[in-house]
Amino acid sequence: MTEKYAEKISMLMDDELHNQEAVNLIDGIKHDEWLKQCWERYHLISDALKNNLPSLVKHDLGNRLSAALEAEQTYRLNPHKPHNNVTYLKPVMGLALAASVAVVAFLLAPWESATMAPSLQPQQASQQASIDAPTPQLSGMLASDQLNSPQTVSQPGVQTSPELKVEPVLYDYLVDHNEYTDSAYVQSSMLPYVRIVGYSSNVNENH
Amino acid sequence: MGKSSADLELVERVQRGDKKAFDILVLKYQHKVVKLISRYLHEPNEILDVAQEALIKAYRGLPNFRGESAFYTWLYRIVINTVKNYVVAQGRRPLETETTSLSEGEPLLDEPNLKENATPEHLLLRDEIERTVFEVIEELPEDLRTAITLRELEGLSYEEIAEAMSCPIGTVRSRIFRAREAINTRLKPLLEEER
Repeated sequence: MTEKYAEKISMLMDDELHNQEAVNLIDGIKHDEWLKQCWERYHLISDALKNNLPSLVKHDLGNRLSAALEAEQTYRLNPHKPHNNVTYLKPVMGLALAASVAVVAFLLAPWESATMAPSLQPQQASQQASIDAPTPQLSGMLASDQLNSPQTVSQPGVQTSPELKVEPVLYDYLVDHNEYTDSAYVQSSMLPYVRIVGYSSNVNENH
Repeated sequence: MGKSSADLELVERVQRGDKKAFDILVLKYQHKVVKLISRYLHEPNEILDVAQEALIKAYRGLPNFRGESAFYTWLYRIVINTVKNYVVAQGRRPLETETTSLSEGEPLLDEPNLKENATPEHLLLRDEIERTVFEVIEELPEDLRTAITLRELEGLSYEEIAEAMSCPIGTVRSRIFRAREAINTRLKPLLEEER
């Protein structure tokens, strides 16, 4: 049993004992004379090995100091924790932050889609129109910037059903809206919906 | 769960009001402190008085110790300042070594021009302890001797020693402990007859 504690003292002086064990052992050293002697002798051996022993090896410095400390005040401080104790938290905090952002983006995505539903109509309308009445001019309209534009709905030569026509006064609004939604999706690392529509493939199939 | 720095744990205990934790720090560093002061002073009583004064200053300064440097580095500065102030207050000329700068944590090697005024009994005991320690080290099995040497003289961690000796950390721990215990067993009669 004593050998087990002596081995722990050996580890403690080498800073190789885990936190709670160190705390318990220090409590033991404070109250047990045998453990205290063991602690003192192991350090004496260490000092002897390193040529650190003074000629005055035998002295009562410990006892003298204990008596002198009786007159000293007792501190009640909140010890300063070393900064390196929390370094392991940094990557965890980073991951937690990234996860939070991902969750927020995931939760907001359906809501944003719902609020953008009206803007889908011109795109769907033009898609439907192109399927119903393909024209040669349509291939010229397939540049990506035009695909994102509500103007495709009313391009000359493209037949659209009357109920899908968009009032000219709404063009500016739709352009602005599409630009906004594109940039919003890009910022959230998602593809803009207009690219998923597959405008060109439908057209090609019909040709 | 991390490994604990014994010094930091003890310092924090003192800062929380545990005076006895300071005694444990003193037991750890008393020989180094006395050795350091012995480079400036020769009279045993003076050495112990200055050592006590320096350690009380350290105790009083502990609330300001933030653990940004090693505890011994911090203590070393206090001891050096205390002994230098003492020498100046006594109106003595500085010793030859006092004009040379001592770096923090420098090994305290004996110098031939520094004759310590210790009594023959003191010197005899120190020499006897050192002789016994090195005798036991020589007699130890090779694996124990290598482990304790790498730890004490080279300052390697258990993990580094395990790598160097190609053995598990548990074996390193056991070898170091057995080496210390072998030396301790041989020192006991010597130290107990001096008590």
